[in-house]
Amino acid sequence: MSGASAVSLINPNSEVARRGQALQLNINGAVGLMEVVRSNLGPKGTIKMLVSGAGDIKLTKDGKVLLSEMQIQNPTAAMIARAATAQDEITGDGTTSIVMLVGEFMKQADRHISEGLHPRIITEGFELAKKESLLFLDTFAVKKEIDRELLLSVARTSLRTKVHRALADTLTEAVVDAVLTIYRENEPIDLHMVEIMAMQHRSETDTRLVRGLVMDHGARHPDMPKKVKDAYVLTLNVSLEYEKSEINSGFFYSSAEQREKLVESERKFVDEKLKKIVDLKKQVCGDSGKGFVIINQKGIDPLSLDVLAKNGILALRRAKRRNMERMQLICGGIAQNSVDDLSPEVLGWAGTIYEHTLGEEKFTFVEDVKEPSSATILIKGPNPHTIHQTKDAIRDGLRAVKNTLEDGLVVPGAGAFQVALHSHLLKFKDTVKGRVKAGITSFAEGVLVIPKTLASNGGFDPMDVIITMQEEYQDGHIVGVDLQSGETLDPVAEGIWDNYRVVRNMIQNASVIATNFLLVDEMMRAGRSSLKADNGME
Amino acid sequence: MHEIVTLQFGHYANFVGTHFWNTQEAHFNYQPSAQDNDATPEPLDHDCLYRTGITNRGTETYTPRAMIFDLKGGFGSINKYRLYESESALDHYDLSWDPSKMETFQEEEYSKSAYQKHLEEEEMGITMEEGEDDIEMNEIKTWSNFSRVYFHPKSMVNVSGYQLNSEFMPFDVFSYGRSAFVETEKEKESYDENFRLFTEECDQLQGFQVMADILDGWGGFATSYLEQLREDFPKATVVTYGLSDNQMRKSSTMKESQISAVNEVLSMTNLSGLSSFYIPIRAPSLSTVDTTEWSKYIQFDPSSRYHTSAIISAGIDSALLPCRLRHNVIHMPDLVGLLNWRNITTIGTLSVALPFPFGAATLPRLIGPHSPLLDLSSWKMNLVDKAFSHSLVLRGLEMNQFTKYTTGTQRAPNELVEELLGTLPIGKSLSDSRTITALKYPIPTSYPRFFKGLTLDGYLETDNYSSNIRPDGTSKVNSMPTLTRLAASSTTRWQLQMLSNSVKKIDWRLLPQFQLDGPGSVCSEEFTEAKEIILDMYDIYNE
Repeated sequence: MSGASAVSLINPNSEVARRGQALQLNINGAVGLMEVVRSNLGPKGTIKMLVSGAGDIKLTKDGKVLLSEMQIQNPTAAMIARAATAQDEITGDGTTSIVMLVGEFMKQADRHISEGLHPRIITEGFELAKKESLLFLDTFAVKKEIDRELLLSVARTSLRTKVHRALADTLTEAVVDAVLTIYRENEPIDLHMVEIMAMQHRSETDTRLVRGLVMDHGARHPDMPKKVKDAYVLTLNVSLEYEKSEINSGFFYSSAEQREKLVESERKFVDEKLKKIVDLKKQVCGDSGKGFVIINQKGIDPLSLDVLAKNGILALRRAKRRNMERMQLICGGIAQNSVDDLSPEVLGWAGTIYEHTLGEEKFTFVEDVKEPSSATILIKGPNPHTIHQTKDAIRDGLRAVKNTLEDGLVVPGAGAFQVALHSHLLKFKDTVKGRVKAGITSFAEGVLVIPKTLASNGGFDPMDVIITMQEEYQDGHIVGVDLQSGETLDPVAEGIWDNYRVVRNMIQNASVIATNFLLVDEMMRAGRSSLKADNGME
Repeated sequence: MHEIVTLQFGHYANFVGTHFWNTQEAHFNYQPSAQDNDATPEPLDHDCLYRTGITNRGTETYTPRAMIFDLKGGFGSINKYRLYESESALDHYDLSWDPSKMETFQEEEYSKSAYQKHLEEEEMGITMEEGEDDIEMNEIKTWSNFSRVYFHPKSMVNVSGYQLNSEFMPFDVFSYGRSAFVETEKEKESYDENFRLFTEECDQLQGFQVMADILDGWGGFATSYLEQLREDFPKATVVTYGLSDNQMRKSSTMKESQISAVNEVLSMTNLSGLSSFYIPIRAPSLSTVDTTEWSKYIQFDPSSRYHTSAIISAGIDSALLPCRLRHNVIHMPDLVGLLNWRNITTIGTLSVALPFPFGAATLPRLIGPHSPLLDLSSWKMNLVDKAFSHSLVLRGLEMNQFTKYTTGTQRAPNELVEELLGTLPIGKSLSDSRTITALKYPIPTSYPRFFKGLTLDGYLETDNYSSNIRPDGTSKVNSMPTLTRLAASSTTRWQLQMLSNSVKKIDWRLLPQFQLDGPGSVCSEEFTEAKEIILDMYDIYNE
């Protein structure tokens, strides 16, 4: 009994698509998805405006955002989308390219399969081609001295594919300098140490790097200073509120007097903590006129705020957990989990701390600090969707810079690698015997989809462009496509660089995903709705 | 100000929450009867649940201190920015983009109910005709179809990776919820960017009120969220309602019912461990309601989320009402301390009488042999339980109704009240709190029109209590007297026993969906531990 009939036996409502049908379903799904993202690719790709059923707007050019926002119904397409967005998790880029490659690989394979070749032969060819491609990538990638210039090039290449040119150029310097601020040689880069803060205000091109910390809250007492100069900074994770512990509730006090006593002793406990802080402030500031600022992760209640305000202390409550770490990197000092070991040594310092109010939102800027090793990218934008888009782009840009620093290698972009790889694989094919050649050819033709699409999105004839590029490559040049003229360019000279790990993951994943779907020879569905209705399959 | 921050996890929780917030809005306008001399114009402190804000354009706003989580598609036609951005977002469209390079993907617009359209018209100054604001039940597809309230844009969070009612990737396993939490926070940082802002502005936070679906992935999501919350608020009072509706209970296969039972066990053990007081709540069904006296006055469809959530919301609104009163307030830590004074009876029960059957003209007294209370938690009917503690909230009792009967007699009105409450078929309790207020439960136009035989004020049309005749037709009701009882009582043991039986025979190896590669996975040890916790709790309530 075949698997399919067994399934229909145990569940008569199930539907089974077999062999050719199953493969066709998968190929249709993959190609369909490719058509959706095709126009995204490259700096000349179109921007997609997604309008939700509730009228919310999202503008994006990022494949990952697009795929996670769209309601994908086709199961194959949904699985490819999941796998491709997983790539973004790892490297921060390349989602669109993977979807393109998977679609094209399957399309190319389909030609041979329709001529009677077994999919397994093709996938064996894919496997060989993938291994060879990765080896070739290592020879093609360029080991360069990593300086700010190179990082700017990489970041610009990535950002220009995500947002419009003016914004991309604004963000390029911000992301590079942000990463350089937190970068310590031979230490892993923790991008969380770059804070990203958004203000709905002005234009996205006003987005800038703040060498310090911007927090999304301010003082909660009217008498606290709005601006403090030359300030000691105390970073705390200590509750400064009177909290009723469960034991002193309802049942345990018999009289109002007893209850008052309990409240009083709890209050006293908080007051003692405050006294220690105020004492430290007096000790370090004296009459010098220096400022004193508290950034607390826990709460501060109105009575405590009052005590602090009376002593000229600016205090912020419920700071983000990560800001505890960032504050130390920016101002120095050591974050305290209790007030027992307060001493001048645990204090940090900042030249200026000031508050900025925008509608109901308050922001506190900590600036003019000495040698910060954390920074904030302050996004501005006129509306939520622009801010969103800018934030997505910044995250990707940061990843691109981090990848470059960690890889130590970059790959010439603008389609140069794919053209070179194509030619290399065709040569490689001749060294292999038997029908697996077909798989290698499919793979080689498949990778060309990247430069072809770049060209056609730029408004040029893809075949013309590819032929020119291939001719020049044969002459020994590294060539990419110039999207301004439709001619060729030298990506090395122009500073168009792709991340090594992004390209590597792209090849790896696209090949694995395509292989998996090509090898599916049965599809079944046990649910209520029909395979046929969903996919237009007859 | 003694703030309460509300968290709603899941689609059914949001149905309940929508009724809850609509009721709050009705409270704003509600004027207690003029005859009531003691009452101040505003018996409730709305600032507990609401925050004042201001938009960038300088318009003042008053929005719930609430976080609302749902899947993609769950928010229906609510545009979360509509309050803070009155102009169309497209007006700001930045021209740096080449318009010829733009493609638009327009999702099908979510259908708006006639009720929503009426609300929009009302906002533009068109007044509704009487009867125009009736809700057609079949129009209610999602909670946004009857929501009257504007929320702050930060209130609404879409959980990543799942769509509402998706067959392809259903959100039906506890583990999926925990893993979706990790994904959502990675992408949106809702804890830091949204939730934190609601708590930062609180001066004297009373505690958190949590509503969570527990039969699907939401229990896991809520668990992860509360775990994170507990790190910052180790001592805060958290009251959690674990909700399950009749649609979710209706599993078509054995496998589905097993998964849902495991979800319930994991949700209950985890959430009760993270909460100061945890109240399981099941949507009412006809058979259970039939055993209460008020079944005569209400005719609802148990398969309608819109209907069942309305009944639950009436209970929830009153349960914490004592924490929001301007006079004789009992703050959440005190109320919960009183309910869970042993610190081990964390699981409670909630019952509601909707309406509390008072005649309009005669002395309020209890009628018939049945309890007026519908037990929303344990479904043990007419059982005189042994309560460790309880808090009764009687609403809509106007003292002058009693004064009529006490004038010229030796008795004080509150003696009569005591007598009335004394006749309730409920157990005595060691720790007992009573809140009696003239403030009736308001019925906004968004509330189902499922009452009958009641006056506009929610009193019984006929004082002929013994009558077995069921009234016909539907009554328009603006407000009504209710009674709720929040308790830690012995009935919980039945529920724990049922729950324990439902998972006793489950072979963990046959439920691979709980084990994931990434974060959120539930291992067999965790499941075994949860089963043991249920048994331990059973022992506590079995005393």
